[in-house]
Amino acid sequence: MARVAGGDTDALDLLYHRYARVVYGLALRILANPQHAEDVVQETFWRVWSRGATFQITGGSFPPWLFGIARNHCIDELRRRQARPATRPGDDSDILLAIPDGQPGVDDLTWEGERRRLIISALADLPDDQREVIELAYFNGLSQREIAERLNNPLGTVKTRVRLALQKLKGLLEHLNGE
Amino acid sequence: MHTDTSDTPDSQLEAYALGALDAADRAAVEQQLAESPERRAELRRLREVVAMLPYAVALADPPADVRERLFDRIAASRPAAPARPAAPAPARRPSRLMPAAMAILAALLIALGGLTMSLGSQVAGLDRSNRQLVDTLGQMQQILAQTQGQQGELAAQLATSREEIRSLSARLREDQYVISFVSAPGVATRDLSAASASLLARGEMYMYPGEASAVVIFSGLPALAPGQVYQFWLADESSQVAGGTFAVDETGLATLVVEAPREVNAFRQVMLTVEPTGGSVHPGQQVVLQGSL
Repeated sequence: MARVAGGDTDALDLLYHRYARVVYGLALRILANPQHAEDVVQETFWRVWSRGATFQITGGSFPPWLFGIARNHCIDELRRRQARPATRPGDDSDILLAIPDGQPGVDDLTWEGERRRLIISALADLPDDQREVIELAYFNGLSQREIAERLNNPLGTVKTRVRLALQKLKGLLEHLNGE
Repeated sequence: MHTDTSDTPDSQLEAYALGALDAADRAAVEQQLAESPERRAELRRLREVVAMLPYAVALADPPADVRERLFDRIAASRPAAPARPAAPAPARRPSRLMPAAMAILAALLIALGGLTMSLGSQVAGLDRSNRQLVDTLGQMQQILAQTQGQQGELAAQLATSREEIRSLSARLREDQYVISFVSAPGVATRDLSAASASLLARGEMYMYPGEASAVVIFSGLPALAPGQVYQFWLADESSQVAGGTFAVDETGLATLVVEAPREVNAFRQVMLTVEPTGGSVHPGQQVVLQGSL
């Protein structure tokens, strides 16, 4: 990122090759629209290019910053539409539960494939209700209050599920991030 | 609507990392984060977890023209930028997010332009007011300086006037004394005549037998050269006593109150001489008037 902040387009190209397919997949999932997802990819990496110095100043690791930008673009687009694609019954839980059937794909042979396999495994360890609130919050851009209304659950229950889910995922994935 | 106000910002950190908080809750968490390095460290760990979630969805390669448009945009933003990395060059398609962004940017630029013009106008107005105030202050300082100068002049004039008043008052008192002295019953007069026939000067002495005070009124005395005064003398057979000095202006008039060491009628003669300023111990040779008592 230091090279990108310094204006090195080759460095940006490396980041693009490593993360563009993750960002595109995320945008496709949230927006359910390939053209809009493409725009999100371009806007996200444009932001990486033009705001690299901001990342240098704030510190932290790169993926949370990058995916945060991408997700914010997606959620903003969702809100512009004034409609959410995941309001159809069944959508909310489909994606995270779409765990591969165990057949090794191309992704599984790569570094990102390994990460994908680990997060899917960790999510699979979560109780369904906890996985559901993660799905609604992260991929549908709902606040805890909106989730409570959507599920007709007490807000405190939703908060507890969010807290427990993140803490459990953290415990399961800490060894990965520590590598 | 379900509500839950029992949560502390601590318990909301996971939801904050997930982007699932309302604005008010976000503000509360951010306030706590600002005060706690430990919570910031915990937030970084939670964000690493959240950053794993995108890998849970199916990864997909974006069309090649996405990358192409990205690097075109970068190249357009920096004229001197190095050539972008080689990549397939599919048909270019403008971003759909761009028009909205450009519209917002244009609106912002227009608003900023208006704000800048407004601020510029306000600054210019304030600058004009400031210059006017500075000019006014300068004028007031000038007026104050003039007033202070006039005040100084008036103070000097006042001092001079007071001195003149004191002098006139003294003169008035002296004149009143002289008038009362010369008009009192029992007063005796003696004439002083010119020592030289060419002089028109004369004097009249008013005295009371047995008293040491006397008043002498002179007229026709010529003005003296600088450094000279008239000096009055009383004399008997054995001594000559100075009775006072004075000067005259162009009118040639003068009044002298004499305080003799003893009764005036004990002396036998009086005379008026010209002496150096400050007077002399003994009378000089230039006698102007003289008389007998």
